[in-house]
Amino acid sequence: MTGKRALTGGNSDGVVPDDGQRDVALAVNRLVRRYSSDVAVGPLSFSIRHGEFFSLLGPSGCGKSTTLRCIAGFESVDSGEIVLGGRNIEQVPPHKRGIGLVFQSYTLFPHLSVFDNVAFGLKLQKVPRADIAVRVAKALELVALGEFVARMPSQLSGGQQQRVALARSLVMEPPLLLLDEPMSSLDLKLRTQMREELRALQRRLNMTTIFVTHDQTEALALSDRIAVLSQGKIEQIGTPEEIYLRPASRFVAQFIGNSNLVSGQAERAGDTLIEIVSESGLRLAAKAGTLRPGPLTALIRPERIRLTAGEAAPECRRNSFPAEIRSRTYLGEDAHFQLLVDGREPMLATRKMTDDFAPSPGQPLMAYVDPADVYILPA
Amino acid sequence: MSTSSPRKLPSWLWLVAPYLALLVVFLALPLANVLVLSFHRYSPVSIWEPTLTVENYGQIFTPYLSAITLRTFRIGLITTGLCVLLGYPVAYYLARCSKRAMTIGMFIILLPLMVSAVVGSFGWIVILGRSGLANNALAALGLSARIDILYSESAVVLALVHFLLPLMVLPLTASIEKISVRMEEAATVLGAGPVTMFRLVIVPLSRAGLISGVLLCFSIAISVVVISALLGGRRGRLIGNEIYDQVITAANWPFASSLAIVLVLSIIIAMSLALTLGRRKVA
Amino acid sequence: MGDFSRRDVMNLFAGTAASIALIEAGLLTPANAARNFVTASAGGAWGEHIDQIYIKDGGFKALTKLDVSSSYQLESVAASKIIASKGAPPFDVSCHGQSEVAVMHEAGALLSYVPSLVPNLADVPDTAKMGDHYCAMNFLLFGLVWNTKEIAKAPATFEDLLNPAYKGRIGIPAYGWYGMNWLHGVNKALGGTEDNIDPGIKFAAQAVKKNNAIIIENADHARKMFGQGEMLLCPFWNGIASQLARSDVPVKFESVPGTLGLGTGFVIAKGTPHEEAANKFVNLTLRPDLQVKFSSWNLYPPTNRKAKMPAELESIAITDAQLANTVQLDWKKVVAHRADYLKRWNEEVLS
Repeated sequence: MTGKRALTGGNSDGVVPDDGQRDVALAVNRLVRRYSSDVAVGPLSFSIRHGEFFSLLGPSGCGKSTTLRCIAGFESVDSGEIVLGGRNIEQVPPHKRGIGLVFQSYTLFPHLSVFDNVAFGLKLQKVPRADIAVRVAKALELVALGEFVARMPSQLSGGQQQRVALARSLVMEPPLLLLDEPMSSLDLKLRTQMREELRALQRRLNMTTIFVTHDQTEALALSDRIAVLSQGKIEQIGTPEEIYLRPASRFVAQFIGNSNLVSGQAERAGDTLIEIVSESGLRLAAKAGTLRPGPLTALIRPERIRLTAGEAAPECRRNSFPAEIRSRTYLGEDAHFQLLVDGREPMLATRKMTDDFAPSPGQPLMAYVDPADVYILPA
Repeated sequence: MSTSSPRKLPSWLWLVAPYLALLVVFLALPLANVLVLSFHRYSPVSIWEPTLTVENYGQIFTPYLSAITLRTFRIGLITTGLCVLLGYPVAYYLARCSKRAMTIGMFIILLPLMVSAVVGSFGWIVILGRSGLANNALAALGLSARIDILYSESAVVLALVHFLLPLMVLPLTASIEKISVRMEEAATVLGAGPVTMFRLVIVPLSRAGLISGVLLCFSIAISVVVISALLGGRRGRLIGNEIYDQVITAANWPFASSLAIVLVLSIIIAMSLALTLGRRKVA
Repeated sequence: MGDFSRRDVMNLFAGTAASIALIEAGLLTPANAARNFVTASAGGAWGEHIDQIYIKDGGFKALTKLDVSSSYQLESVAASKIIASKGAPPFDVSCHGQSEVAVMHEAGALLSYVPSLVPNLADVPDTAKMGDHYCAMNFLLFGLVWNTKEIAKAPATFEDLLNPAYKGRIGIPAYGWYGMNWLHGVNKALGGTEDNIDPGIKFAAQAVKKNNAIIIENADHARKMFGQGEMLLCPFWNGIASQLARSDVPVKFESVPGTLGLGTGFVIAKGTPHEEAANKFVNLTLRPDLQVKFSSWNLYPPTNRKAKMPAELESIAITDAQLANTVQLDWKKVVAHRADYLKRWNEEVLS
């Protein structure tokens, strides 16, 4: 089977270790969906292990929803294959794929009670009535809505409705659960709470899940692995840590979290260090690794910039710069400082404000970056 | 604006007053007049006499008129049923197609309403006649079968469906348009094929449109005159034709009035029934 | 709009309602106010030609100094409106055949002509008149029209309608159209009288049930059915038959026993505020030159003896032989029986 090669070979980043086909729940191989001659999604390849929580993350229009809809069967595929449980499902109509799907908008059937909503799919499968009652009750228990069984959807809050929608999918015991931004219509607090419930539930049921979102916080918090998409292509596949700490591209670096990107020329500066001379003239030391001198881009996460009042300590003279605060945004836990570093390079730094440390705009500071915290983006 | 008038009128009155006035002048009062007239005695000379009587209503319960009344409701029900069967798929297509296709489709759907019932009926005569388009087409195809439904209930039903279909499609389309496509997809991933999805999701959720369409089709179908006269012949006569004859030829306005009142009452009963049934299911 | 109080609006409603109630009761009639001269006739080409020939060409406005409006509706509807208005008619003059004239006269809704204002009356034979309140402007025959291409020999009686060779391709007029008149005509030809309609009803029932007669709802319907060749034989008008023949439809009119000699002409509604003008209008409808114009269009012969049709249209004149087959009806009795016979028609002919 030629697809086996493509399974891991499609994308050089975040390659899934091919530890036997048995553990793969879903494989998407060179999937292409064309809209017009210049708008297309793919080719995309990735595979998901049993019980994995996998996120498709990207800005709107990046192709993440299209990918999801192709898997669900609502969009036709122009080329490539989708293999679910070892079976190519491209020709299987959506109502026979058995995949669970929870939408962004509330899609409970408004004319049916919570019970009938959850029982909808079981009734279509002609499951005996007694079994239906047991399974519906169990599914509602899972989402902690057991006592709402007789309510109509209009009598539920938005969060409750989405939980019933989840129960409606889970009760079918699908081999794969697709979540299409299921929490985006909820308010922030509810979203955070539901995020944790969802994660706990997924772990408990060991449910293979694909989660589509444009919210990087959600993706980072929930996922075993994340695929970052941009303009119809996968930029990177990896664990949340990999994605955050070792972004594969400028796009990923900027899309996930806050970032300072410094472009410049690298020069060797000793055995273990190189020095980056930015376009503005800032000289920044970084771990040399296997890097050779030449043009490159460095990423410094704002929380890695250490801000202190006064002079730089002698032991950390390298990468210690005078910095001036241009503006300050107080966010409670943290504060964001827009800096002009070394009188030339604008950067963002985050730090807790304390009684000892509460600088105001215009105030001079020292900014220090550990060379180990300067991450060089792959070319 | 608010310098005078200590007691303000409720604002809804301003919204409905013009139409309300129109209804009172052109519907309620004339209808009241019809009701009053239906209890007067007929006179061949002066149309009605100032004598109160219920005999006009008694005349309705003859085998002849009972048969006509039954036929009227039968044709009304069959027509409405066919409009539902034919209208649902069309309405679904229109609600789900592109805006442009919908505009064009709506225009095509509305065409029958732009032709008067008289012209439309003559058109059906041309099609259904013994040497009409339909039979000529059959002959041209070398078939010996002939369509011989002109001057029968079938012809009336056919023309009524043609004429009333827009009134079914319009409210249905408006209702289906409001159902989110995600709702359909939700049913689909739960295992519902297209037909099951339509039955379990589209039909119950477009109930409001269905009720409007059914009421419109049924009440118009049971009160037509021209279509049944021209296409039904003696086998397709409906209550409307009976009323027409009584008004125009016999000038028996009192009896015609009693028939009209029965027709109006039937429509009101049908409406209440449909609305009650409709409300009961949608909690 | 906030300047209207609740009371203003209520007064407005009350006033409107009261006015409507009064109009309904006939106490406050728009007719009592000074109004235009109103003529009533069937609409379409018929009404347009009346307006053009008798009002415009006749110079009615110059003659009476009155503005004219035309009101178009079925003649039977106009008759009902005149009767129902109880002396405050919405029209001054109205165009009708004999049966409706009889109904309106019976109801006391018509004025007699004033002979001094209608001098043309003297030149019209009495066969075109009813009493001193009606004088037709055209003679109309309602006999049997047949398809000359598919029927070899001219029909001699209405009984040709029962010929099984024409099954499904014959028509009879709906009672609501001219069926009532024709019923009496064929009834008399078969030996019945206005008070004994049995032979007519039996005949009509046979035509419908045995020979599948098409019920013809109006003149247009008949035109179309003859025009498409769907119908071979149907009681119908002499004038329209001529019109159809002129437009190459192969039909011909036959005056068979029981043919009705009818007319069409204007009556004056009792209660008109313009009685003198109404008489002058009737006089115009009887003026020889105008009748020639009207007849040249509708192909029904004129009633005024002095109206001489041009040579090519002389053929539309009614011959003595045709006249011999026509029947005259006792309109008073016809009218008295119309509701009873409608019931019998519906129950015995149609069902």
